[in-house]
Amino acid sequence: MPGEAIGTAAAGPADAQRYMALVAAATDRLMAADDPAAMIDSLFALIRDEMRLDVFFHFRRDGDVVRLDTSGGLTRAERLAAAELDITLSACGQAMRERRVLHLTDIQTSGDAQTAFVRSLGVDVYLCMPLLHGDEVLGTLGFGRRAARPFDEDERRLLLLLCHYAALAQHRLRIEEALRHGLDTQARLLAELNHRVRNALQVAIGLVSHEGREAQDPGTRGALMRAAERLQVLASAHRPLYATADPGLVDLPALFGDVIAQLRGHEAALPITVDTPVSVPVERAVAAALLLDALMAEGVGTPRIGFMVRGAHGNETLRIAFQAIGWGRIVDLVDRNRLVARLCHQLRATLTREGDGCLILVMPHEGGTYGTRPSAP
Amino acid sequence: MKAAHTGLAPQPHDEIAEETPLNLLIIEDEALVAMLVEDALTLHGHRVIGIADTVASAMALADGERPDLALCDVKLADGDSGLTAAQLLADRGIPCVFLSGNCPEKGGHPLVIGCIAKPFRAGSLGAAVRAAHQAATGRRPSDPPPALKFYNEAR
Repeated sequence: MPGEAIGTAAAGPADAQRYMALVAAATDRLMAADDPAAMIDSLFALIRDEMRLDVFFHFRRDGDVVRLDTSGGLTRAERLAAAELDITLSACGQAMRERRVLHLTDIQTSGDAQTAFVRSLGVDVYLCMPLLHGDEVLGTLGFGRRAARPFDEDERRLLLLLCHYAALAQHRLRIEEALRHGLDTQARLLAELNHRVRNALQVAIGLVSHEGREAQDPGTRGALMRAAERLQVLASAHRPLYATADPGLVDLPALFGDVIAQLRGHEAALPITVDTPVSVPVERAVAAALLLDALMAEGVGTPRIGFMVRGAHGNETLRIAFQAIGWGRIVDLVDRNRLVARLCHQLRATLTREGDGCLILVMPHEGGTYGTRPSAP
Repeated sequence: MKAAHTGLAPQPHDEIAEETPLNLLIIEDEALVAMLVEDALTLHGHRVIGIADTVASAMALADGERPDLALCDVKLADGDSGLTAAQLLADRGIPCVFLSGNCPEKGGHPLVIGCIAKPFRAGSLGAAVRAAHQAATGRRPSDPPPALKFYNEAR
């Protein structure tokens, strides 16, 4: 290759300082970039004068395809011609294949076919470097001079360093793009899952309600309508699930409000107080909501409900007080209702009373594990 | 209410009524699912010796009651794994069938017989446990329901 490994005098302290400043400025731009093409454009603009560059090309590799991503110092026609170039036959194609820097000089007097395009641009010195990240070739950067001398050793070192930074920055942008794509896919799947869960529950509620309405026997009708109510409780627990950053957690006081509103039609000013936001995993939320539903089915009045989280971090308990006439008396439900007993067991919950008018439910909260999040406004 | 409305009613290949009732252990952390399984198996004439929702409670029941077969969810309470429970039961000579929405690919032990995928038809559980027990005792399963996937691991 003509002109390879040209030795020149070492740069002086002033050059070194300028180069350091260039490297620092280029690093800032590369690390802050959010667009690959703009990033390389910005790099070229920064070093163009200092490096006496007339043209540059950035060929980017996406899978098996290599295309001109951005360029500088070219007319529109030259840019279009560069975009049509068969890279495999060019110097940049060779740099990619051989994963090494090519420093080509005396191009105007050379008849080399792979420099034909840059020769047509008037370029006499051309430095082409592969953009490498690990074993992967991301593309190439090519810098051309029309009339200046060949790149000296320090210039080549500087450009190679900037090329490494550019490859790193490009790799970062690709990872970020893949991450964004992954998050978008996750959001779409979550939305689809949300739709299907809600839809399936709604269909089940509709089916059971329909059977209930059609049933002739009042006992059967009542049982089916009760089953539909319980399915509605399940659906309520799943409704807010996918709308937050914590898709597995449910705001328990809000869910209790929903359940009471469904059962008693109290749409506003529900008497629920919380001393701290209480979010629980969906499985526990469903069990707690079904337990509330079973307690409400005893026919006692709508209670004031107070949530309190107690205990040290990692060993918290959730204390829920239900206050209304008769609520203390249904504490024995755990002994006479199989569903209540099983739900209490699942929740590791105990039921106690404070007089006739207050039922206390205490269960592990694991707030340290699940955390708390603000209730929905 | 007739059982047919709940899906609990035996279907043609669901149950072989003349065989001896089995003593069964249910390992399931969801109260409603555990109750559904218990009701379905009881309706089919089997005896449920207990419901466990952790590995420790399952082992306690298994050691005390020696069930003929266990039905085991994969995800249990307190972060326990049904895979561990099944392995420990199999080591004790108690056959096990998974009951899961996400069936494991393999049982990991010849006595981990297979898996019934959720959602399942409760009416088919009787025939499924019967077929699984037959397989566990070296007999050819008679008319197993399609919901039961056998692992067929060599002894």
